[in-house]
Amino acid sequence: MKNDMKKASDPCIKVEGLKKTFVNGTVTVEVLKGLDFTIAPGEFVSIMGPSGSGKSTLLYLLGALDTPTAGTVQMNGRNLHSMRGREKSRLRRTELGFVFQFYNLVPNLTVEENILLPIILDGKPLKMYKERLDELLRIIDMEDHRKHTPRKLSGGQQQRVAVARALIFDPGVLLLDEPTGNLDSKNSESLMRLVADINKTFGTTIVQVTHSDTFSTWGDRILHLEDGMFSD
Amino acid sequence: MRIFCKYIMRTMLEKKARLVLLLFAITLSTALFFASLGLTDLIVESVSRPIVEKTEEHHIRIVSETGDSFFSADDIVTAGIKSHTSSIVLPGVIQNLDHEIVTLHGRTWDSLSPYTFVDAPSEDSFSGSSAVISVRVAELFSLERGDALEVLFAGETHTLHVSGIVGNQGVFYGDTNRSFDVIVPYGYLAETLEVEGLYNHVTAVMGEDSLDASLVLFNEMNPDFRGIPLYNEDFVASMVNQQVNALYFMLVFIILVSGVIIHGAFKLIVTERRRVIGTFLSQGATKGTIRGILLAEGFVYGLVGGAFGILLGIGMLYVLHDYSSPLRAYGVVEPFRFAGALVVYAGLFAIGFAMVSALSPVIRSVRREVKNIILDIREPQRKKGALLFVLGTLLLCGSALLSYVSPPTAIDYAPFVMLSAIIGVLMVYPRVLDFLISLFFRRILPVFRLTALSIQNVRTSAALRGNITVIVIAAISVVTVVSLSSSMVRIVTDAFDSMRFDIYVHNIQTNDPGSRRTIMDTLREDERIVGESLMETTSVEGNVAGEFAIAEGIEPGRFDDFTDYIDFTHGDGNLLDALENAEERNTVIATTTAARLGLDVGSAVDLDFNGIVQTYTVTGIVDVRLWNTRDMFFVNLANLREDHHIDHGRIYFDTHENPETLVDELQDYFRNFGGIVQTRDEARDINIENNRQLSRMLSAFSLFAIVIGSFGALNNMFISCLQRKRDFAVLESLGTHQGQRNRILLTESLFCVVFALVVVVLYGNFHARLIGQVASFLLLPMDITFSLVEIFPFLLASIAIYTLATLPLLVKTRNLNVIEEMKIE
Repeated sequence: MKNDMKKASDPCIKVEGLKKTFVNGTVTVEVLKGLDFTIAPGEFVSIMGPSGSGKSTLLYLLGALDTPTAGTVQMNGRNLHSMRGREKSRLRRTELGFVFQFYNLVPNLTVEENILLPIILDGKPLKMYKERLDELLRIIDMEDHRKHTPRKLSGGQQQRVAVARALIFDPGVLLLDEPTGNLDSKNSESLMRLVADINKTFGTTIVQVTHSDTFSTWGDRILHLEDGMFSD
Repeated sequence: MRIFCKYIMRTMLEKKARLVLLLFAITLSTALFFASLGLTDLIVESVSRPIVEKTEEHHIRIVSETGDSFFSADDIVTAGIKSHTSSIVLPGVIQNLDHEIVTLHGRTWDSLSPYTFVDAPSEDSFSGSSAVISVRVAELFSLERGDALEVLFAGETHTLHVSGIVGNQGVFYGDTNRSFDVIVPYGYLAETLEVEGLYNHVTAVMGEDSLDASLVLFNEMNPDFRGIPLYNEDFVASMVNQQVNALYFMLVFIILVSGVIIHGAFKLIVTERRRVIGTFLSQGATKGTIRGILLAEGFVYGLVGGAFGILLGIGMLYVLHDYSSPLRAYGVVEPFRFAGALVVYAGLFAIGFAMVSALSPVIRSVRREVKNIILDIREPQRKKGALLFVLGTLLLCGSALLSYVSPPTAIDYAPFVMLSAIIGVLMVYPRVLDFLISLFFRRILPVFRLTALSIQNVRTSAALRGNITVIVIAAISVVTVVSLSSSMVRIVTDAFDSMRFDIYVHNIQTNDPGSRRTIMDTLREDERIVGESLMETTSVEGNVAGEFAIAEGIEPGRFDDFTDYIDFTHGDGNLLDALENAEERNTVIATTTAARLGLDVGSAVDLDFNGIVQTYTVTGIVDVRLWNTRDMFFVNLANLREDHHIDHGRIYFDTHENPETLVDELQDYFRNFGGIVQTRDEARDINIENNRQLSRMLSAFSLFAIVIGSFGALNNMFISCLQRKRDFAVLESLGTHQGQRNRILLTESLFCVVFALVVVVLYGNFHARLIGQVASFLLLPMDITFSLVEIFPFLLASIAIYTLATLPLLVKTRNLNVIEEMKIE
């Protein structure tokens, strides 16, 4: 079951006139110049583009981690950026999963504590999620490392833990910011296989930003971003 | 919750050095807070306890309303009192030992019942010239029963024989090798003094729930007698409070420095954990959750630091208690106690202090967009420097205006005025620094490249500017203590220089008019002494309008010539002229006394000295400066002698010979009366030494401020370095070597400390004026001057300490990994 899953015909993510401008002193840089697109539930979309094209900015806006200068991002029919801070936090905890290039695990927490972090932050009883935790540990093949802290893990392992953490609440959407950017080819492939399995098994909508031509094709659709606009 | 707690504990323990720094700052602040809070009660208890023991736990002294020193106790009505003890009490000096001062108590055998004798003397043995002494005195002087004591009292030497030895209790409690008490049969003393049936020392235990109620009832029912408090703890407390207030004042500096350090440490915590905070936020943590976690960390630091601080504070109080026990040399130390509420106050202080100091970085930690926190992207901020500069200038100007234009108002609010000025300085200097560096950077860059880069770093790094703040506060505390101490020494020196005498005799242990006349005649007949220079004064403690007060008995026609320290000039005349005729009972009072008691010229005031109340008329008000800091009444010496039966005093005179030689010779004569003879220089040096005790305590606080400050500076250097790791990596990749990096770091430290000290030196003169006003607020009115020469060694020491504090940073940055630092971004 996906949180707030709507009819399959409704878009999961709907972006309209999305703009993002950065002002630094007297210099103004328009990173996103009015994007319009939709992503259907269960779709696996890759966003590609050269450095500075606005890929990560777009992903952060989709993840309610940044605020647009103009336009809207709707998730399951709700405008993310008209939400109050607490609503956004709840959304990030329960309906969205975010995976970063540099894993961003909490160094002082064990693997299982890191995976349970959204539950911990939500205040729900951890016991309720024991089975889910075990399942995710099995999926990412980290059952033997559950008590380890991140510093004892390889990059690939850390990124798998980050994926498991993003999935603990069984969110409808998983956002990945260059997930293989810091991994070797073997680990990269292993991670992408995991992501693709998640997409197929759970029907999770996946949006990834990537530089990799190889891994961009693993999805259903590729969006090319250049100078803040989609190119064909 | 459990995982949160575990997380907090792990993160706290992760950085051991910072943990120690934070706990050190909180512990020391809490300990000093605890000790300052407990000091008043402690000293009052230490001083009170021996007195309570010596008075045999009596509360009331009964005097005759007729003013007679010796009176019959037969007609005392025991209303308001439970029981009373009547005796004759006389001072004396032992002749056959080493001129120890003794207090003779003429008692009946029955009154000795509470005492425990080491042997078992009979009532028969307590007769004639027999004497009961304490075990301590017996051991100190190897005295046994039957041994003789030659005692000079009532103008003659008498031989007493030890007839009993009792425990160190009651009147013997405070016996020392310099002064002790002896109980002799009442009949013997009464016969010797020809006062049979009369007593001069009657004390009683209060009969009602409170001392006041007992006194009211007793005085109502005894029109011929008057009950007065035998001992008033408020008197001691009021004396102690001055010093404790000064400590509180210095505590403010410690708290300021520690607050800046905790603030800085939390800035570092937030800086280091930006990715973790971002991760928490990306996983759905609310900003409140993040702030809650960080504040919980502050809470735990406060809790642990507070617990250590309370323990250290108890230790400090214990040492002070031990140190301030008057009978410590004899192994007698009062039981150590402190109010349980102090632990609660100190605990709350520690937790509150840690959390409040951490508040600002904690609030700022999640102010940025979540994405920017995760990626550590700094958002362009509205510059607040100009606003702070304007606010700081307003605070400084406001303080200066109040201080110079309306000094009385400034004194009333002196601590706040000083605090405003200090905060003003801290707000103004960053903008000045910014201006100066922007002015000179381009000019010095071509010549001193690394120095210019270092100075530019100070301009742009908030952490390094934080260092300047810490050093400024610590240096101001040093300036405060040094200026106060040197001003105290100067004031005492000036006061003694203003007095015209060569030799000074005090502590004369006789209140007998005959003995006093004998002493004065002897001195007048001594050809080595300038006869016309002989002058007597008396200082006596008493009670005026329920407040502790001092009467200074003087010879009005002589005193103005004796000293220039107090200016008694009033128009064409002199305020002391009105005191000439003792029968008029006039008094000249201190300005502060007039203000506090609401007295004016012409006011009638009841002066209660030696238990005798007389009404005086205020004929003049004068600024007594630091002659005495309590409520002060100048009266004719004759009034104290005739109206209050006070016949002891001090004697001043000049000599035709070398004062030092004469002092040695006169000391033998005055030893018979317990008197101490000193030259003016000796008296001045002793007075300076006594005043130094306070400045030593304040210096300790100042030292704490510097030590905590240096740790804080090191912390700020680490923050700054951490924030600029990538910059260093870039410099390294461009060919900068380790030596150059070290030079940059050292120059930054040196510049911070030198700039901070320049700020303090520029502010010094104004600060000295404010210290003077705070001193007046604390009832120690004095002119404080700022002397760069006196401060200079401390400035050099500060430069050395803060430069040394940079060394760990140099070691820490020795192995900078360029690739790692560049990659992480």
